[in-house]
Amino acid sequence: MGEVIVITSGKGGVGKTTTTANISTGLAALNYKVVMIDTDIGLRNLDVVMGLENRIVYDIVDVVQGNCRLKQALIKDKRFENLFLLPAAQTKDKNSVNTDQMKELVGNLKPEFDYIVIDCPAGIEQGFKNAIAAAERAIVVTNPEISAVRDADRIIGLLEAAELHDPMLIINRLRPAMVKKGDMMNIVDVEDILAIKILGVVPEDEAIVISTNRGEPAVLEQTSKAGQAYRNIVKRITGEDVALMNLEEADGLVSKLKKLMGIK
Amino acid sequence: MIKQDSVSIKGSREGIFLHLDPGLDFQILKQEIAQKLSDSQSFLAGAQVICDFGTREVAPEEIGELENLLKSFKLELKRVSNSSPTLKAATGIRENSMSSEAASSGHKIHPYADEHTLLINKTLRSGQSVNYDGNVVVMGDVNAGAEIIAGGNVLVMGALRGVVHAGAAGDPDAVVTALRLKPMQLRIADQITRAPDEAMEEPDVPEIARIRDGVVTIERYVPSERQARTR
Repeated sequence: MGEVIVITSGKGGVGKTTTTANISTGLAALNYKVVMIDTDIGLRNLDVVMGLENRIVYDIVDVVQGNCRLKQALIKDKRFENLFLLPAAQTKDKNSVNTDQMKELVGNLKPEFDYIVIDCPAGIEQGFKNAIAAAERAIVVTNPEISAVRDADRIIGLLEAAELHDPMLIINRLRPAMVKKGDMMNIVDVEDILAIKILGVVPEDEAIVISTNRGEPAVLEQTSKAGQAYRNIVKRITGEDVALMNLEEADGLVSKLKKLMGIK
Repeated sequence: MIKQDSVSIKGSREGIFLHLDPGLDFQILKQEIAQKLSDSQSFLAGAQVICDFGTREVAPEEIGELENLLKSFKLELKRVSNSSPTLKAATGIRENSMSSEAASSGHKIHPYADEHTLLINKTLRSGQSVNYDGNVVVMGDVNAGAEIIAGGNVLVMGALRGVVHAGAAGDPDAVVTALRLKPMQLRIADQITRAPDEAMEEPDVPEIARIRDGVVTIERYVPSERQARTR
């Protein structure tokens, strides 16, 4: 039976969809059978980030309304045989699906897959309720800024109320240089307020912008720091114990030499 | 037969309002109150009662009698009020409330003599709200965006970052204590203070907030002091 994980945040634009794409691709790269469900009906993005937009024929609303069979709506990924996407509908809205339908849908997918990763829409309305209805585990994505942390806090409260316990936190788009100067919240600041387990910290990385535009998840890029962070997160999801990576900016030649000579 | 609506009971945030028919003889009124209360005793037990005599003139002894009657039902007389007919007509509600202490001449009534305490065994997160008549104790943090409205004191065994209203029913002796007191906004009784706009030093010791000389003041919590209000 597969494990159902929802990726949520409350606030928009913190990187839920990017996280969903990278975690799912990363899991698939480790040979797990994975399906992503985009529940952001009306504002779907996951298909674009995965570069699968042109393959959509049926979507989640078609499945729920019985216009097609579940298998017909699942899109196979370009890179991995064992990775699938159930896209959101673009022409409907969040109320086209209810929580019971969502539970049934996920229940039908569970025996077939190792991981079911649900991309939650921003907000706390019907779309959010649908996304968490069938989830067994929640990953809350936030940015190291006060508004995103506030929303994450609200979401954690709502997850608790929905009996989805022990959510885990991904701090996304951290800029180590700014943290060093004291211009950005650091990991401890965020941890202090939210007081939940940190699953990973993803640094701000241009590679993400490029990979998103290309429809190629950064988790596959060996040279990208964000990609490395996502690979570590994926390993932690599968139960492997991986230490948080050092996010200090790569040292320049001069500082490396200084270090060698013992000058700080 | 006693008229059905000579006594009416209404709930409010302050407590239970007893509206009493001003035209009725006081002894009959007492019987009527007793009957009404015995119907709903278990439901109301422990509550505070505000008696509205309407246009009736009440004698101090009568208030004492009433207080004893309420006590036998485990209720507590918080205050009494009466109003002139003109004022009542103008506002539709009883105003002109006179303090029960003044009315019962030396008959001191503690407004919160029997407060209950609510223990919250988790962190209150943004969007979560607690509204309770008695004291509130939180074993966790109160995050920004969360709120507590308490009739009595508030004690936070963690960081208080949200909004707290202690003594919400008007008790100026209520206090707010937290291991790390850094609230968005702090209200005690009818006093409101907010965090300064400039960044300030974060407290690293438990602190207590209370009203001193009409202003909410925050000071370091010293356990040896008699911090809570005296009963």
